[in-house]
Amino acid sequence: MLQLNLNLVWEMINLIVLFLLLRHFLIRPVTDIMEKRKKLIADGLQNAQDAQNDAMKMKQEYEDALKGAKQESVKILENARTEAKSEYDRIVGEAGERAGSIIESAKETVRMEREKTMNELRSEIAGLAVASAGKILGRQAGSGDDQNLYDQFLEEVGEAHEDTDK
Amino acid sequence: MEELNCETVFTLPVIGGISESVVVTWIIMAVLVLLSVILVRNLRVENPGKVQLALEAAIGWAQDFFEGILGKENRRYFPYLITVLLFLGASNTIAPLCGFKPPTKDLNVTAALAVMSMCLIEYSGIRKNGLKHWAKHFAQPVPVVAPIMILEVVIRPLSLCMRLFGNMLAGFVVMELLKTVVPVLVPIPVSFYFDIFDGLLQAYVFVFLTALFMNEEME
Amino acid sequence: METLIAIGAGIAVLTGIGAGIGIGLATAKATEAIARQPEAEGKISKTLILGCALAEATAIYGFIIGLLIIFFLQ
Repeated sequence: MLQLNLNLVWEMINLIVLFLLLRHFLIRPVTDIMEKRKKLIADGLQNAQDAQNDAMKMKQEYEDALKGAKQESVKILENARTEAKSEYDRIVGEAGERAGSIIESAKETVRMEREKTMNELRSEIAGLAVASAGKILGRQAGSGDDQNLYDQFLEEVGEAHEDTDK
Repeated sequence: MEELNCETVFTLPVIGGISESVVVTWIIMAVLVLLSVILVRNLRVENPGKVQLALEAAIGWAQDFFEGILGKENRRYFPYLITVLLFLGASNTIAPLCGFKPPTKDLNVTAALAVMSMCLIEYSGIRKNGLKHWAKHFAQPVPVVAPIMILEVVIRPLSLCMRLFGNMLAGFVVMELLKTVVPVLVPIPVSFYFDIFDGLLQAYVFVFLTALFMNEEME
Repeated sequence: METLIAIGAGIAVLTGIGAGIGIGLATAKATEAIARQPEAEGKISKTLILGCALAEATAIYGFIIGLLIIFFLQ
């Protein structure tokens, strides 16, 4: 009981053999099975995770598409509005211009008409004044100084008339 | 006094005497291997049976236990430690279960286990840190302690061996004395303490300490 | 002579006193620790078993010395 002998060596060999046998028959298969099950569960979890990720990605895409469409419609509306505005501005501006030019030309016509009338009147009045003055003065008719005097008078009158007209 | 001695069962021509404990060890080995072959025969990944669940729970518990001490990276030592745990559990409790004398009350068996443990402890240290570091760690932290550190290499397995042997022998002696004094009924509860509880506890302590020493050596 | 051997073996087994006191103290402290921190029970009992195994070793050594005295001095 208390002495060591060769049995120690047999026991060691026994232990090593038992270790090899048990490792082969018990521990390795059981560990393999446990690893397989762990892997199975991990795979299942991974698949579920993947599916969820896919769903999330799809949702994100839909949302993006929706957002894009909304933006597009807003842009189209904006474009239409600016176009309409520019068209409106252009039309109003044209109309204004045309109206301005019509008024301008009318004014011009009126002015030219008046000038023409004025010139006619002036020459007529001058003739009349010369004639009447000739008639009134008699012999002094045809004097150049008198003619000048009338012209000056008429010009002053015409200027005053123009001023009031304006 | 007759009960304490290990008889030589038979003598082989060249090798010499084969003692009783070796024969009991063979029986335990045969039983363990047969049981494992039968239990492991149809394992399934899905829908495991009750036996398989129990088996997996036991092996998983042992692996978690060693993983807690040694860490995940030393998985290669787990099969040996589990083997020793199973062997010690079986051989310590074989007395009330089958009527054999426990082989662990023979000093040869425990010495063999301790020598194996010593080899494993030193091997794990050398494998982890290299031969140079292993040789150097005897002089840590100061070279004065080197003799004690070298002595520790022998003392650790000696302590393992003597603890197991002493516990088993003491339990055996107490049981034998009790059986001669009161042969009926009274030894049953006492046997539960000295053989079953103490035997399993000693098996646990043996592998626990081996794993702890290995961890210490690998630091 | 045999009386002396028996007395010597008895004295050797007295190491059990120390182991008993040590294990008792360790268990008392472990119980206190578990009462204070019940969630750390696993770790505490593991350490307790380790400490008990180490403390018990002295008693076992005494027992083995006793056996040696009985068997080798006869």
